[in-house]
Amino acid sequence: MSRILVIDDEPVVRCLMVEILGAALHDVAGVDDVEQALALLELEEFDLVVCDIVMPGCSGLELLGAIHARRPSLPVVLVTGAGTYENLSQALARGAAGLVTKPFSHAELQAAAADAIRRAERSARELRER
Amino acid sequence: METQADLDQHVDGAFLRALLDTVPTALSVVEAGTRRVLSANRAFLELVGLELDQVLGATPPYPWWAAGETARPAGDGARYGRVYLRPDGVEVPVELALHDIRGAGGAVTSHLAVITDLSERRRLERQLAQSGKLAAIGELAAGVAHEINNPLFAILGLVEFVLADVEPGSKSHERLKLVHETALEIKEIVRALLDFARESSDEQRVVALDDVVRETVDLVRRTSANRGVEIEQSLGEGTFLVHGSPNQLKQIFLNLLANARQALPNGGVVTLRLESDGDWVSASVSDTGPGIAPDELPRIFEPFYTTRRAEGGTGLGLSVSLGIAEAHGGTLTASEAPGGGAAFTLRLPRRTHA
Repeated sequence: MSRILVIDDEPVVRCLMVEILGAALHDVAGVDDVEQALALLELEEFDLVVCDIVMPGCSGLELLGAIHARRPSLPVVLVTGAGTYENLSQALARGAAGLVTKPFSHAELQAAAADAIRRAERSARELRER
Repeated sequence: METQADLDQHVDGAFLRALLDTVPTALSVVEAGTRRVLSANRAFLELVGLELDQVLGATPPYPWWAAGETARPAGDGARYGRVYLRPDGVEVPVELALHDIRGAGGAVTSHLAVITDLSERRRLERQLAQSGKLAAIGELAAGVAHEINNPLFAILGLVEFVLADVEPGSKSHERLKLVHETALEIKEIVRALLDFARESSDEQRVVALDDVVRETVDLVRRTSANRGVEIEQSLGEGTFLVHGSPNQLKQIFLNLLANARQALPNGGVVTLRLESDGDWVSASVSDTGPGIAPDELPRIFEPFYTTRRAEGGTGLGLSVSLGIAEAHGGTLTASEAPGGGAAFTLRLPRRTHA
């Protein structure tokens, strides 16, 4: 079981993502803003962060930078309401582990999360073996 | 002073007329009070499409005024817009500026009218407004998509949970599946809008015309305006590269598709065909409607010419499209489709590589 932190300012959307990822047997915590997320990341260990790209105050892209400054190996999957090429290229350029476009199916989000966690585990293993 | 004196010897009526005829701006001189035309230069005759003897001596309402035009005060510096009607039926929007001419006694004896043809300026203004609108849609679309996709995700995500709880085959299950499918349809509409509006600038680049056609058709298919009309695409093999503004090229296809649809009030088929012909890419839009009447054919690309004024036609779609085609080094022509409907063909210089 992996630990996942979900950040979205929309309560319905956040609860839904928590439930969808929970259904895939992950241990999921949800918070509604970036400050809470960063505070929680200081206190607890997570294997993955799932974060909306558009939020009041701080964009998901900025949060991505803030997380990587603290925990470079923690994968972040970004969620966007407008899947533009611009969003995609910015997300990938800043090192996002994935980008899912709303509205996505349960399976799409679960697959994106599993894929990001698997790749992060593999690179951690490769680092240890070197 | 000697020079002025020399000139005075040469100045007579013929000299003045010759001088006025070389001026590219349309000018006419009318008698104060009666407004009888005393003189008009070559540019004026070209503008109104008449011979000098048809113009001289004319009094208001002048034969070149469009219906509804009436006389206006003629004070010095007066300035106003009018619409002229040429004998070939073309309406020309103009602006007049009037200047008083005083006789030897100091009284105003006549007025000089300086007339500016506004058709080209109007066409450019409309074209600018149209492409501005499209750019604004582009800016809005991303924001709107986000606003719609958030609640849409909530609907789809929740329905997916409930679907798993409900007994398959039950009435509730069928109804939930319909809710799910309908919400997915909304998702596709938003995606089509985003695809369409992705290019928010008029920047020119190498672009695949087949992509432009696909995105435009995708959007048109999803609007209620398209009900009852079937759009068939025959996009051939490979890609058709041209150099231009994707936004403006989409506008041509939007206009042609809108025209075709209007020609098919009871439904029908619109066919979009892309072909490569030597150094050119040609795209044709044909319909199964009644076609273009032979007497309308020479005029359909004129600005403000429309056969659908009552239904809100502006007469700008085709003239704007032609302007865009020509700005891209191409052509836009009208002909009869094999089945008797209307066919429009856009030809653009082909690019072999990006």
